[in-house]
Amino acid sequence: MDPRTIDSLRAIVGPQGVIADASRRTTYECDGLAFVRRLPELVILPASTEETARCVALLHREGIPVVPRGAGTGLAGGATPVEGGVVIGTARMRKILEIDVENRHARVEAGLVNIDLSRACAEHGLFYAPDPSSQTVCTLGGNVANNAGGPHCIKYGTTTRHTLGLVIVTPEGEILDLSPAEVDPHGYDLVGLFVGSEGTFGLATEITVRLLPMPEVTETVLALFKNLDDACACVAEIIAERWEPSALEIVDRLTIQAVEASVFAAGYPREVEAVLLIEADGTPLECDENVAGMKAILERHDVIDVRRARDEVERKKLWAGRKGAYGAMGRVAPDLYVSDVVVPRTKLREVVGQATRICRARGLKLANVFHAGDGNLHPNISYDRRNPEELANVLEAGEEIAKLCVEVGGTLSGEHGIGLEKQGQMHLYFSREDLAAMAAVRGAWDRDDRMNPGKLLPGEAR
Amino acid sequence: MSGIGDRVGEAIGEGRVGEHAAFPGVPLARPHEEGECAELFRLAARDSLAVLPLGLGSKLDWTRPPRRVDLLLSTAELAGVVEFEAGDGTITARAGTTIATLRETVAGAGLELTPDVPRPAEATLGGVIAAGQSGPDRLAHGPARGHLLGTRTMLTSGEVTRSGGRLVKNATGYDLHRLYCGSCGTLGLILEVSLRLLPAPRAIGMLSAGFDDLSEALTAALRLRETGIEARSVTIENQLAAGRATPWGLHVTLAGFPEPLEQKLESLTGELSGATRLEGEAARALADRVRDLEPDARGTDLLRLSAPPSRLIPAAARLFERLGDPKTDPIVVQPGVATLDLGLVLGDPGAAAARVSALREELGSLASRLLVRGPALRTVPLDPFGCSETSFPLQRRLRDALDPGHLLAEGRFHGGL
Repeated sequence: MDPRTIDSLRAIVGPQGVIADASRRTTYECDGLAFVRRLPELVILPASTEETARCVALLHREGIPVVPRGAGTGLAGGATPVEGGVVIGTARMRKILEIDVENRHARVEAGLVNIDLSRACAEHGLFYAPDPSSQTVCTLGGNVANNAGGPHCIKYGTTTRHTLGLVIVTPEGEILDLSPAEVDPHGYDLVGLFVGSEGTFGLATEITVRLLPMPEVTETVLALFKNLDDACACVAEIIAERWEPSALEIVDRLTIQAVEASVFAAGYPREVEAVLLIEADGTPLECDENVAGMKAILERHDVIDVRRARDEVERKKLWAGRKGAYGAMGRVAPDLYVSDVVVPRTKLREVVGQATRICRARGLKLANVFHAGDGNLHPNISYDRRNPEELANVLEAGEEIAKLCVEVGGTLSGEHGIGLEKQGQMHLYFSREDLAAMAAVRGAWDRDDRMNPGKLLPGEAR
Repeated sequence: MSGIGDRVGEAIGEGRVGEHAAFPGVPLARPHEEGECAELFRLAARDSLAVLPLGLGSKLDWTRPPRRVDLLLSTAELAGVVEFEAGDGTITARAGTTIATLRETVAGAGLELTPDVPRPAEATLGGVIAAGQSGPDRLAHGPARGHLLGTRTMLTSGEVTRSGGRLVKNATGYDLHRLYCGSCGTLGLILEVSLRLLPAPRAIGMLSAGFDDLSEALTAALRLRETGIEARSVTIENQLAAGRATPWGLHVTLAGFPEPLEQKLESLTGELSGATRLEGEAARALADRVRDLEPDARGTDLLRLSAPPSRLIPAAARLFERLGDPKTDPIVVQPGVATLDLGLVLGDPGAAAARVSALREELGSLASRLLVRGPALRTVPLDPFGCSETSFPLQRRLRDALDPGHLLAEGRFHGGL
């Protein structure tokens, strides 16, 4: 990169906001899609919306592409650097700008870590609902880019339902203030469109989110099963019988064993084939009704045991196992391919079974830990990225599972997005016309194809 | 019938061409098949016709009339449920299906859909989504766009494009369906909509209390939020016209399992002194009546004030200093959603425009906004939405991207789009 450009950027963000040194840039060469790596030309860490806008405007003038990045926990390659491009990270924009208790919203900078918002709101009896497994590290800006979910989306919905307003730096470096309209958008729902656009429309620097009142009580129940099929069947019935859990998560045997052997040990019995983590919240009576209703279903499905967390400590421990599952899987193999697909909840049992067979036929080790209540599967396949044949085998299995999901009425991604990982699969789900309409919309935001180019849409659609 | 009407009749059959009272002389096409819609867009492109999409046309007064319209294209006959997955809690239906039909379809499986709009037999699914309409249940479920899973939409090229899907969770591709929701038919013709369904409440209960003035009723409503009890809807109505003893009625709907509901009703009864409690069928009947309250139902205009809940009281006071009379005009307030709807006749165009514009300026300091709907938009020279946005150039580009031939009637939407 031209040293004069680097100097100009340094003049905007200060020396601490520019990472030019190659060894430090390696931190940014990939996100959670670790087998795709590319060293960025430069990393910039602005400290404000204005600094971000000035940097993006300068880069736009120079014709240099920009890749936005939060904490880099994305799993689809959305933050992978692009050829000749600069990574702009939000790590220095972590402030909570306002918590409006009366009107139940918060305005934050995009680099704020997800869990820090709920922690800050707790004293007011409020919380921020989307809680991805990476919530202790991932940023709200990244959550917006990927329309992140989490275990409690079954009741509360994904990021899009909680994002009220945004301040966006456009690909040309202008500041677009889409702070919340009081009730409905002023014109087209640009905020709704932006959420989940994976950094291809611009870079969100400020986010206004909806806060919810903390439920009076939360009940967490662990159900143990002799087989994964029964756990899936229970989930389908809980949904069909219209019980109202706030989370329904399945963890299978391989994952349980990894978790129990790790620092995230949650007390899941190692000998069971699957556990179903169920949560209900509301008033004590509402929780009782919900849990009793769901328990009756569990009993019809040969459940081995149903354990109710007795206190907050036990509840947190059960969740630590679920949320630490990906970290724990490091014990099984050096790398983990975390797939993300969705199927109608009525097809859970069938698809989980078939995904297992697909991996078994390829000699791959599959672990399942997923948001069963949303039909959002995460088939996790262990591999070693130093073995290219094994990697190719894993990716083929991933595509086979994706195809299977689409065939039964499912989709390619529930919360991780498309990024680089699934571009090639987009034609499985969308027609040429669908993709052309999306490309036209993208062109309206980013006329010169500078913002995270080469991501999300397949090459032929752009 | 105009020459255009003849050509439309040739394309889809004479029996499917009529007129709509709001646009005398403009042919109204009611195609029965999607292919006919594509045929009409081809005709429009060939003859440079400005096309205005609609369902049953119940919300045409929500925007200004277009600068020009040559053809009304209704999806009313493109009706019917495409897929109802009760076990997965989703439904996909064609745009012309009425909300009443959908509600009936899903009710049999113990499910319900949001938004719970007024007069559901007169509202089509496509129209509700295109208008971004919500109902009083927005308090509990959020705006309808949050439950919209996907759409199939015909662009003016005649191509049918899909966005989202039929799944309760989906992060595949751009959410163009969110763009179409509330776009008032300025981007394309919505053909099919998929919605997330919700478990129908096992029981419903209502509390109604009377107040002497609006401010008291609003204060009581806002205090209810502090109890931690989340209501399904909270509505305040000016009930003088209904001949009731107190001028203002506050209606709180609660829903859920019977026993917890009972407990909540009990607790709120303590908060709302003198409240009448209704359960079962009586509660459902009142909930339906409250849902159907529309201050502009009799052809009057509607002013919608929206303000953050904490500023609703001063904003309402400011409104009534300049427009309307809280003692006599029909008023419906959704305090939790932070809207106040006032029905009135705006009258003399010049004076009305000046008053609305002055009021908007004052309300700006209270982070509040005033929206105007109704017949006045045909004569009063004012922007119904009353806002100027830095995003309008982007909004224009989005519109140009999806309707490059500018076939959809312009001038109705925000920023004159």
